[in-house]
Amino acid sequence: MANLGYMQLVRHCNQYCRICSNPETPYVLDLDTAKREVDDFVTRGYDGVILTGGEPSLSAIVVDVVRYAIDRGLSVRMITNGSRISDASVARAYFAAGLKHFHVSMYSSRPHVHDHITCVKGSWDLACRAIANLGDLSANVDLNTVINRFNSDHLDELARMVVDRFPFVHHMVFNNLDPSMGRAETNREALHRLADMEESLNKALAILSSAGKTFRVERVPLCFMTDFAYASTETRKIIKKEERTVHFLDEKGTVRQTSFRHHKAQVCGACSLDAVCAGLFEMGAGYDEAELAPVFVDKEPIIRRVMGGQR
Amino acid sequence: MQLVRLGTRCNNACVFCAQADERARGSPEPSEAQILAAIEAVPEGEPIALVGGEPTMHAELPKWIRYARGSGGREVVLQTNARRLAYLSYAQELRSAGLSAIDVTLLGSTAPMHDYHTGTPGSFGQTVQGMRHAKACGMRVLVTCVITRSNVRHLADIVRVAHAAGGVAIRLQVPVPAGRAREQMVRLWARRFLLEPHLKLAFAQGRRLHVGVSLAGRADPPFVDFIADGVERLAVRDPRPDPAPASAQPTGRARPAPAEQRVREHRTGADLKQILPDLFSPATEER
Repeated sequence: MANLGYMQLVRHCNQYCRICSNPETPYVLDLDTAKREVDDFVTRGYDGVILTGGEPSLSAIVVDVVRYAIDRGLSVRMITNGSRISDASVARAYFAAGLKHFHVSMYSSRPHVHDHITCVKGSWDLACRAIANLGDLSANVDLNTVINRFNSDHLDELARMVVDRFPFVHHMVFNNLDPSMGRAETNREALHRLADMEESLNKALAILSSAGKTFRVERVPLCFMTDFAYASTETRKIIKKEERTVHFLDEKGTVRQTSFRHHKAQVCGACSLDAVCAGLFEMGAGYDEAELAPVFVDKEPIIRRVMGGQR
Repeated sequence: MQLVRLGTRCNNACVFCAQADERARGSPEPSEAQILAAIEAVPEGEPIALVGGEPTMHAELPKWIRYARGSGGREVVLQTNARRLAYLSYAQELRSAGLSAIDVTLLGSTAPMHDYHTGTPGSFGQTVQGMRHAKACGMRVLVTCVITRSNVRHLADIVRVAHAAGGVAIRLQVPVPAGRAREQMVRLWARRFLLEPHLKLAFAQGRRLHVGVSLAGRADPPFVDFIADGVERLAVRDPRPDPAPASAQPTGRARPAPAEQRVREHRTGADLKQILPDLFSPATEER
């Protein structure tokens, strides 16, 4: 088991993503509270902490938090839009403090689509520069993307771009849009059908797999990624009985998540992967259960692959 | 081959049944006189296919087969789920009446897969047994499989199971968007990127087992265009509404979240205690 804790350093951001499920609140983490959160993860026996936001690089305490977490024996990562790390001196300062693993958010291989999603012109260029800066430092760089209506038909292009342009990026994370809250709730035009992304997602995963990259997919039911079921975040957590804790900077406060199951349709009862599938997030409110279809593949190889430690 | 329809009565409840609407409306079944007249109207020597619903639901079926066979001994084919042929005596009775072949719907390579599609637990075992009995009685066994998102990965296995149960030819087809299939198309439709590789495997399996595998010759767009270029290539278009993404041209800023607060007054200390109380509990303070 490898449990990771999430720490929101700030909740403001220098982008205004229409797919954001964690929009701005007035809270900013101070160093004292941040240390308490790190101590909390250590007490829980977690392996690492993920600095997130808002845009965590807008926090003034990043370097101090990183040093403290490393002193306490935790690995540290940051989820960032890359805008500040596009400044090589900032990237170097983080790296020198011990922050060597980054998840940079990139929503499309097409600059105008990425910028449309972030509502900031030029944000795609900044993200690319940040990735290049981190590559120059030999940092561990992952790419995060949110599947939404604007990129749902060309996720494979993004995977191809990663393979061709950023060969040092070894891991990608695909998060299906969470339409239940935040700006994603009000900007409903960003919501796609699962069928809209099925082909490009599976092509993207095939491209990454062929190139020896690893990947995770969250909030996508296994009938839409059957051939890559081992890469479902929820499926892995269900099989490995993992958990995660998030210290939010809003009224949710501290949330410890031990269940990774969403909603199921009646037909899911016939599916051979029912026991290891999280089902459909926001069924009815965002996504349509009519899209779910049982599959009849053997689940044992999936369980063996996950338990065998293969990424 | 002329079709003679015996009505929509059926003992399966297939997820893609094109006749479900008709059955639900309670459309009248043809009378025996109408069925016999339909058989009578088929030119002598022309083969007849008796189709349902499920023809074996009719007690008079052996009599109609005998009538269709006629004195000329023409070929009579029965489109069936073959469940009733799991009774050997019934299969023998149909054979004795003059039935020369059955066209069986096989929808999965395993019981859970097939039974999900038929909506009828236990149907897989009966269908496979019925196929075996038909073969043992000297009938040709043809197989039809409707391709869905749920069985598309197993087409080669379905060919293997069909062959093992006596099938000599397997016809694969996509769902016809009528009846229950029209309502369920989003759930049923296997897109081209899924379909193509598994069709190739099914065709290869057929060649290996020396059993004919074909794609139903529906050429009516927008469902299937079959391009016979030697490697069984398909161009399948999605019958659902255009899934193209919304325009990604700049449309201004996103609308704010319902509870989004735009103030930039940064709070710390006591404010954080309100939302993260566990971190400031006495036990934590003492740590």
